[in-house]
Amino acid sequence: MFKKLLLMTVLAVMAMSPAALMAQAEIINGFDADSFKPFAYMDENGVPIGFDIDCVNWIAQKKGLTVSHQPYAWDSIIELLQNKNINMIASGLSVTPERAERVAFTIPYWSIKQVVLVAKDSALTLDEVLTGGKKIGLQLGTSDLASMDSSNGQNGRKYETVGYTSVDLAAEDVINGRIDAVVMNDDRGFAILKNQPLKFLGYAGIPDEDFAYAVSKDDAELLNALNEGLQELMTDPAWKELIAKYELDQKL
Amino acid sequence: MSIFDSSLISAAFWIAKGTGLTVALIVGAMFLGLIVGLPMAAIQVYGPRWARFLVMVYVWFFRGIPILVLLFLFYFGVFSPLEAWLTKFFGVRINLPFLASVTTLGLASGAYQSQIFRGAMLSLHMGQYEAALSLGFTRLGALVNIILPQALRIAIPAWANEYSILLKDSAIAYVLGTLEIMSRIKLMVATFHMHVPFYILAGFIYYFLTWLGIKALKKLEAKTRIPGLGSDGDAHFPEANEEIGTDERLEENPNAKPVPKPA
Repeated sequence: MFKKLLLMTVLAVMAMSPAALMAQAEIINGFDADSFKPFAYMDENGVPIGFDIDCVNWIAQKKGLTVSHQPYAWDSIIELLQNKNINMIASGLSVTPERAERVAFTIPYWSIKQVVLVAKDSALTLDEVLTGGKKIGLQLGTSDLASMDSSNGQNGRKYETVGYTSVDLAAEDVINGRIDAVVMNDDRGFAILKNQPLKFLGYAGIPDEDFAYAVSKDDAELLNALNEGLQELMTDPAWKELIAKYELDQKL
Repeated sequence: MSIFDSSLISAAFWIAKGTGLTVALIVGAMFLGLIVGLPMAAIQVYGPRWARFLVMVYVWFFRGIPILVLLFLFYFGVFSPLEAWLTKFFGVRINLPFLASVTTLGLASGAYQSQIFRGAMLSLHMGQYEAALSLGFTRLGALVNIILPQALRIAIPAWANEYSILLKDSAIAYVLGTLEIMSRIKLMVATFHMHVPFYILAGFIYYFLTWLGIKALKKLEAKTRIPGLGSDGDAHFPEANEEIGTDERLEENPNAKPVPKPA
């Protein structure tokens, strides 16, 4: 009995080790495991896609790099990069001073505005949402939430922020009527509006944000390759095609 | 979008494929728990005082801290530096979220499993162990040949219960992005902006895995059953047509002094 159990254990460990425990050494791009449509998410076959994923793949091909995209919990992603468990982040990551102290950013490649969405049948105005003490949902661990909180109480702004693990959950709660509005970036908002009974109310009145890729501070080689690649990509016709593919040219 | 949309169906298939990783997670954690828990149980019942104390510290550590906290603790405290070190010196990458999840769940389950096996060992008469020693068995020999064959059988129902608990605990591994069922569900929820159908699917998969595992362990229990040992063993309950009082254990103790009647 005991020997059999021991044997089974050894077999189970051996069966798992090559396939599950080892992955080849390559550049790992960590993206949001709660998915950040349309920048980095997974299609219905579990293949990572999105604007950032395609851009990185384009750059990798030009620069002769091997990049694999793997989902990680978003609130720990900066720490993973600092610990070098991943080599880069290309997942709609906003440039903030706090993050810039811990990781190195590439040149910004995209700029976003924060929008306010409410339920389709809601009679609220933008003023009522931002000054009427309403409940606004945001994703935890994002720079939007930090900006909304720090601007609360200034210039007559008055609301209550509610943190969610994903923007989708916040949107779901708006539809269910548990909170009044949800704030997210305009491109994400455009994607969500196509599937959910929500409507665009206006801009949240917090600073615009730049998206950039992040690498570890002492990884100058990868930083240079990404910067050069981004500059090449942004002057290439492929850039416009990718923007059109993910409907980033269609603003709210 | 209809529920029967083709892209939704392939999403469901991709999620179902995560069942393999969930099963690997539970099987790995259950066996790690067994390897850790069984010796700890033996130490707690038959071991020296100092070793019992160490086991007690271990058990209280893993029983007193939520699985979620343990996951992050091991992820950032142990595995993330370990992986960085392995990558730096050997150029190999481990599947960090999976390894961290399976180890944390396994070590935590080890604490619970040690108590399951401890209970099973305590249900055996201490005299069995002592008799084995007096017949010339070594301590390990007595344990392996006399105690474990009985205790493991007795422990199967409680072990099946631990399986069903661990299976559901494994869903929490999604926070590390392990790509088991739950994190696949979350990714697809975000891709399709649709919640309820995906969580219903998750519920069905977990229900099925619970059912399958419990059924398999029931089979194992029946297969290894020895009449007279375990749940249908020691305690003798009279059958319906049996006259109460024929069992000598239910008869009055002849040595007992009669209770004096109140004056």
